[in-house]
Amino acid sequence: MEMTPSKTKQYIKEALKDDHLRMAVDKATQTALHKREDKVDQIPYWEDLRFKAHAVKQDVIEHLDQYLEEFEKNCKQNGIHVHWAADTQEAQKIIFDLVKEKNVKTIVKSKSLTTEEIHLNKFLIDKGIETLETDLGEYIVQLMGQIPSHLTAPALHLTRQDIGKLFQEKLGVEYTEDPEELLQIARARLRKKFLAADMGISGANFAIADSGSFCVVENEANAHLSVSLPRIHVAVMGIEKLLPDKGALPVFLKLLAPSATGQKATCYVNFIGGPSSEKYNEGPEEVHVLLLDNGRSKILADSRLRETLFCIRCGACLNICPVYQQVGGHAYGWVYMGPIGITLIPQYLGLVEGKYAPFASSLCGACYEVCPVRINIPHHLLKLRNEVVEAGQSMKVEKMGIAMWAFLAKHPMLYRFATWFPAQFQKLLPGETAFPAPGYTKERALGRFDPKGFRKKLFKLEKDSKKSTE
Amino acid sequence: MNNSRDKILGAVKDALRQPSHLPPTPQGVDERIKEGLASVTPNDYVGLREQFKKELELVSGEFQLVHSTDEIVTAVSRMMQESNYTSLTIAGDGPYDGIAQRVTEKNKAIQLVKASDYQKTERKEKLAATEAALVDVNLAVADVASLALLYDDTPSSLPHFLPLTIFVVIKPEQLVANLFELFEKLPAEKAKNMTLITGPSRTADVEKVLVLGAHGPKRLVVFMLEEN
Amino acid sequence: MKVALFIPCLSEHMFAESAISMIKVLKHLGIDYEYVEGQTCCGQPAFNSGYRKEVVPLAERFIKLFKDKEYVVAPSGSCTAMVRVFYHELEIRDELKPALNDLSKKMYELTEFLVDVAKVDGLGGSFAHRVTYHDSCHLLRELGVREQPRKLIHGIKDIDFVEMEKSDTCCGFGGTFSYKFAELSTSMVARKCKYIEESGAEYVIGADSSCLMNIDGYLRKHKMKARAMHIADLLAKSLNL
Repeated sequence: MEMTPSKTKQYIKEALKDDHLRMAVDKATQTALHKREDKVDQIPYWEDLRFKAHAVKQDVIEHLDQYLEEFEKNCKQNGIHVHWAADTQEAQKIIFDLVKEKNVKTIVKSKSLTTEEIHLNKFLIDKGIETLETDLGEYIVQLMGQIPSHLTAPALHLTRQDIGKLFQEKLGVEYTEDPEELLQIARARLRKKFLAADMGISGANFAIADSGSFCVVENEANAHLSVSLPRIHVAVMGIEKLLPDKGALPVFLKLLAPSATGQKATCYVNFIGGPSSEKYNEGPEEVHVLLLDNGRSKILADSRLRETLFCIRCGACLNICPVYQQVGGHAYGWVYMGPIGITLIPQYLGLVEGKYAPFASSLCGACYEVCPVRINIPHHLLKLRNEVVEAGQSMKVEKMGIAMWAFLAKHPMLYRFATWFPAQFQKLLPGETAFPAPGYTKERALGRFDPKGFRKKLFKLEKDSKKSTE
Repeated sequence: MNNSRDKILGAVKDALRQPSHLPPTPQGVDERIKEGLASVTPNDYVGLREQFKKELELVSGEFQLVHSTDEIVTAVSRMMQESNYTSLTIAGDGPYDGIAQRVTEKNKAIQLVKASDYQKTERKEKLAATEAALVDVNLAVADVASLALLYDDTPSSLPHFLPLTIFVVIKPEQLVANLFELFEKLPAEKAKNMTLITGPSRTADVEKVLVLGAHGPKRLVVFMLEEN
Repeated sequence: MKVALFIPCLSEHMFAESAISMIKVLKHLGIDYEYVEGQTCCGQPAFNSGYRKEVVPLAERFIKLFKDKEYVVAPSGSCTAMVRVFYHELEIRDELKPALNDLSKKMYELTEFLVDVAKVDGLGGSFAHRVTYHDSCHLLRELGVREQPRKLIHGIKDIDFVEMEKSDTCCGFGGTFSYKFAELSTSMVARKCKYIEESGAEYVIGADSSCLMNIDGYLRKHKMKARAMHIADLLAKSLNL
């Protein structure tokens, strides 16, 4: 069943009742945060790295057309085929055409959220092409028929027992819940697949404009095998993933690993700059890069919100978000989740489907503090909330209430009068109780209106102090 | 798809007619990064080597300081025997292929497998079941214990990824302090096709429990060969 | 030194005592203050809910009322952030923009003002209880105020101050978030109250009535030992004002 962000309130309610999920999410996020802090402490220039990364991304985004053209030119010089896809349908078609043309029967995939954004797996599998996820977490989630619950830890929400049962059921192996043994089962299966696959599909973490190359970052070596063993490699990347030159790489690599997994460096950073050649005769015969727009150029048009295109998909904002920590990733209903997710949902999917997303946050700002590229997510959420309101997607009752409040606040006498009322009505309530507020007061007592109010108390204070000085 | 290309580039150009409304970058960022780097960088080779060792061990790699290739032969032989391995792979044309040769000469039970002996089409099959490999890399990065493997400079990279155990031999002159130095040193042309390797492959996808030997090597042993 | 007071609507209608405490403390320090008539709301609840047009007249009103003051002080980090940071996002009239820029430099949250401007080192006083402190999000992250409240708490001679775990994690209020996503908000405040309980504190001190109301509401309903207290009240009590 297709999940949708417009149902996020329902998903959140469900997630809050799932104690086991909440424990898993809590454990995973706290571990990642703890490790991240340890690594950040060892980098005294961490804050300056973040400023630098922001500056580099700003330069790229502000000259995106030039960098894209440069990247394409250099890719072609390296023998890499470059495709452009305006949207999901086109991206799917380009890849499928390639699959048909090159007689591809099996595909191995390394983890790529961009490919999930374009629903690539389902599309290809429906067409009868075996498309296998090879990252262990993604492999598990694929077997389960679910979508990942975290940017970098897809199977976060599952226990070892869940996975043991899953393997027993779907792979016909003896039940085990030992993580080492579970890995061995997957390793053996997937090693065979890597060797036999016709095509490998990956994402691209960073693409380097001046050299026509790109890199794929990972820990398991599955990406390496996916992109180097099959005869064709297709890399799907959003147009915003560019960097100007290799000099920017140390900045981003040093920020990415601690932010994403709390490591100093990921196990493998695979740089691809062309197919096998005379010089290096291993690797795929063909390398293709698919540049995906799918709404990015629209986001680019907003002079502030274009900052959300700086995202390097590290997941740090998810780990620190107190909302994400309570409910995990499925609650957001889309491939991008957490703070950056709710910033992207209304921009990519529109203000109707995305009308709740920017409000699923208390605007605490912790995400901004950890974002390696300094995206000011809380400020962007406020802007998006305004867009939802301006598009007429807020509740009518609320809009009327706000209009009334604003009117009263412009007229102090009326304001005083209007706010005097609830305090008086409150006297009708028994004892110390306050007004009930739906939802809020289920588990919390609301504050009571002060029957005197500040002004009366102030006047009394000043009268008393005048008396005491007389 | 020229149509989409023009459409996308056109949309991008249009979008960029709006100047950005973004906070300015503070002054002195580049200088402070340089200073910060310097403050955590050991200032001599031994310091860098010890840093590399420490970081390698933190990612479950193993480090051995050796002063002759004989020592490597002995160590590799021992580890191969302990693990009951019967095949040792080399890329072919590598500077340390001779060491691997000597290991197999010493231990008749161990077969030498040379990647470059096989055609590309059958190479990956032949090496898929390989247990161990003895390889070299181009550069080593001290602060995170990464190894840079440039594809331009090796006939085969499969021995670095397919076996369960890899033995890597490096020399002092290959050690650089950090990624900034690495990318400064690497010519852009070479940096296009390479892999940075940091420790054995791993995953924590099952309940965040760290397990080594995901789809790549499970064990990584680095020999720092200080020959005078 | 004369301080113009901005009284947040939550303080005015529900937590007047905290505002009065603030005034008592200022009096004690010999700081001259004035209550500016005609003040109402800074507009934050509406702004946070996505309404900007509606908030513009409130912002302009605020600027006009307070622009000629020497200092403006509010016992709330979120209201102060609204003026100092978010008013700049509004389309207010050009002629008021210089006044807003000026106002941004002289508007302070209470603890910020006491420590950074009035240079209060410690007020002395006595409050022999175990307390902990909750970092309100806007105060901490938009205004950068972390040390000032702690300094003031430490300045109370016999106080037993313990830091709770994750003092800077959001309490879950978030204004309208607290009822739009009520269960989620509750889940967040539940966790905050758990940390408060684990600290063994009798009081959790804060600088924003909104957070404190949220936390206190949960503590009371679940019959937990601790109670929330605004730092102005703490200071006034410690000095027996």
